[in-house]
Amino acid sequence: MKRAKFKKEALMLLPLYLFTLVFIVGPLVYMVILSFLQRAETWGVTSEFTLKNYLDILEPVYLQTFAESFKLAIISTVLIMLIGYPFGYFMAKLTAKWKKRTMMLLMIPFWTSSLIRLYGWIIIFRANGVFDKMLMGLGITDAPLKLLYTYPAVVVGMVYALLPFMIFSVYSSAEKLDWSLIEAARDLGASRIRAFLTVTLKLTLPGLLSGVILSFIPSMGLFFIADILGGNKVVLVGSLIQNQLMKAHNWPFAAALAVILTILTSVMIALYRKLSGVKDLEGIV
Amino acid sequence: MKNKTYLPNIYLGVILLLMYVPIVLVILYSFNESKISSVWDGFSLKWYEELFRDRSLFESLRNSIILGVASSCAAAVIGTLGAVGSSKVQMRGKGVMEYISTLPIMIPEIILGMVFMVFFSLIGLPFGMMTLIIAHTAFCIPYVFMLVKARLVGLDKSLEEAALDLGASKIRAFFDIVLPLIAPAIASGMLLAFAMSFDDVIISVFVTGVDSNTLPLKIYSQLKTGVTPKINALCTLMFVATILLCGLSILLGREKKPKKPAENV
Amino acid sequence: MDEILELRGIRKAFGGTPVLNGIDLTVQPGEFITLLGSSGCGKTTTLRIISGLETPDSGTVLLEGADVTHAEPNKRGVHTVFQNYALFPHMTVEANIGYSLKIRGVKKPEIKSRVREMLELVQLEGFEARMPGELSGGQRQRVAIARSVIDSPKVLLLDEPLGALDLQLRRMMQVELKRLQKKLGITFIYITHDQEEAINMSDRIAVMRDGLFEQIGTPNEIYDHPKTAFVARFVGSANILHLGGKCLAVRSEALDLKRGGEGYLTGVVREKTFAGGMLRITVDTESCGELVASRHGIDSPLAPGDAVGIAWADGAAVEVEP
Repeated sequence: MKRAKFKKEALMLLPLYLFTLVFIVGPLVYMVILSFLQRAETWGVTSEFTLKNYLDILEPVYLQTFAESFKLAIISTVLIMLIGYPFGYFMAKLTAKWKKRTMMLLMIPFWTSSLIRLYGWIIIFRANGVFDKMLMGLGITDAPLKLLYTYPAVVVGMVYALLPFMIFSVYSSAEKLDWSLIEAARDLGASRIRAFLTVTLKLTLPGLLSGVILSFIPSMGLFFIADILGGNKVVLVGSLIQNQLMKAHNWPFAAALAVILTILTSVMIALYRKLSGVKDLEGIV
Repeated sequence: MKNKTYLPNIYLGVILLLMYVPIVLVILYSFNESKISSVWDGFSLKWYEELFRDRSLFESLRNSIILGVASSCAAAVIGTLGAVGSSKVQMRGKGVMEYISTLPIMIPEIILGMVFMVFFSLIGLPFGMMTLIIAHTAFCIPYVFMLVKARLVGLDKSLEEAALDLGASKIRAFFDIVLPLIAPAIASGMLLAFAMSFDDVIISVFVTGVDSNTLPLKIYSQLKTGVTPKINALCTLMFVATILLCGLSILLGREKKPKKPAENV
Repeated sequence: MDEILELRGIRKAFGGTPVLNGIDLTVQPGEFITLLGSSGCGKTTTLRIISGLETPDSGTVLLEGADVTHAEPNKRGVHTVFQNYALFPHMTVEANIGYSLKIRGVKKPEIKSRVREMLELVQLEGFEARMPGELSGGQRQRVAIARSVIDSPKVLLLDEPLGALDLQLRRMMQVELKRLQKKLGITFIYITHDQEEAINMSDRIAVMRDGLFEQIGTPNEIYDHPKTAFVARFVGSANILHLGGKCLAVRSEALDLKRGGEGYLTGVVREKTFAGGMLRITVDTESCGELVASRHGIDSPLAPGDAVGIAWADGAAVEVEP
């Protein structure tokens, strides 16, 4: 009787497990296998085992892409942190009514299609666009800066797209903060800065780290931002994978790139768990 | 606090304002008579007229809606069943399976898109609506699963037991008690999933077919090649739809406020 | 009279930790029986096994003579009033109370009228359309009871139903529950850790400890003739004395203290405290450790440090198993 009961309810897990096995585990395993296969002369792959794809990544041109991609991700993440942390922190100190309102105001751009927001930046950055007009109008510059299709434009686009994740993460851990702890630290003679560093920062670290991951990982893959705001000038690992897949048709190499990116991502998440002692990413849903 | 400063509030205000600047510009220029977005030639609705004449845009809008509805519904069924099942069954490997099933929102989208592309061509699935729905369902499931699971954790177990105790069968107790109580979580999960699906570019780029252009893909290709203010008009309409959806989700998320309980017995 | 419920040798363990170690119990129809014990003694598990929400590892549950050990909870005709009431928060009071009838396919107008009767019974007329969230604790309690008795179950199980209420309300509800039980004639199996409540309401009390019944009997039997030292201590807060190789239970109010006098024992007064309308005098003895004597009133001529002789009337000491 007990046995039968057990089986009946386990059936509910069947769709999820089947889907996960077939459409998540399957493709991921195939990606790993593919990364060790040889590219065929014209189309597709041969079933020969090779490490060539991984060795290819070590070529300077690709290594540089990784380095560039990392650099962009780091710059964006640092900026996101600098802008987003104070935002989340101050927001947590608002009254309940204003917290709700601010959250609303944050949710609207967050839910707005990323392409619409991206398009707004095109309008701003294009030659003789809003930004140029403003600078020239103020007399700061006297010729259009032509910021569209430059590195800074891509950074702005990344920061703009990913900032909400940092804010939500920091906010959700700052919200849980017991403010009396900070007062206690101040009471015990800690300076304002010291109290912040030893108490506030430490307690909101899980949120901050989760925000870092939520902005760092996507910023290596958001190829369409680099594409639209950076023209061909900025190549991300993501763009490289896409090119290898869709244009060069070198699938095994794209797979090898993806495997490396996955490993980097997993290492970061594992590191996060170790550092913060939290299992789920804060503020992810 | 002695020296109350308004600096933090000003900071919050400025950042929020900056977030809206690009959106406001898009809306503003959708009413611009001129084709060049840097020149203001007066108010006009002509881009909206042109938009409504563009059949291919409507085609892709239709595709996007079908895709979003299909994948968020599939995710609602699979994710809800999975979350409820997982709350009742204890077995080995459960944690690992759950972790893997939430991977699609943890790993970079680009990787997800790429593995789907190579996998679908391996098993010979023709690229089109079907592959789009499968791929989108994959990243929609975690939203429903995680939200429903969180709701179930907060759900008083004795409610279901009370229903069984009062004579309900297990299935009846699920539909009478558990389902209505987790419905808000399912709905917000679906809404989130729909929004993600409706906005997705990266994964769709890899798994779409020739006749299954979605709206974001269409906008993406136009942004890359050449833009007409028609896109502004479209974006404005989408923004309005977003606000409506946002309002809907707030309505869904609002719990019925109980009247003050009477203290007398 | 045939038993309505019988438990035979029920054992249950959770993850290797035994909770019930072979309990036997027979309950007569219309009886009010209380399972009394401190938390973790297995009383809630016993209840859940009777209701079918838990299956025993071994042993048999008989309802009106039929083996229901493995029957689903919805096939038993036994209802439970849960500790937290477990009212369905998304249903009105009317829908909550009428739920069991609705499942049975009773027609709507009939459900409506039966619900109204029930609300009258628990004195909540006119509350049909309220949501559980709009009710006070005591009102929720009444709704939970009405919901459980509307289809006249064979046995009603109550899991510390008064635990969440304040003292005054508890006293009121004790009286009311007893009245309800008499009126409906339903068998009540009641769980509590409060001995006063158990004594006030029950026809019989089963004192539980570590997954076993220490003693089952009427409140008088339990109070006056405790079988074990545990029961004596738990039910009547008696002093346990080891004298002449025997284990004796003597109630605190039966202890007679005489300054410098003679008695079965001698000791020294340590402290006096006033609690629950009684003065409690703690005495240290050499042979039996700490004893407590209680008196009416708020003070006594005895002072801490006084040497006293301790005596008690014949028959006040009951021999118990240690």
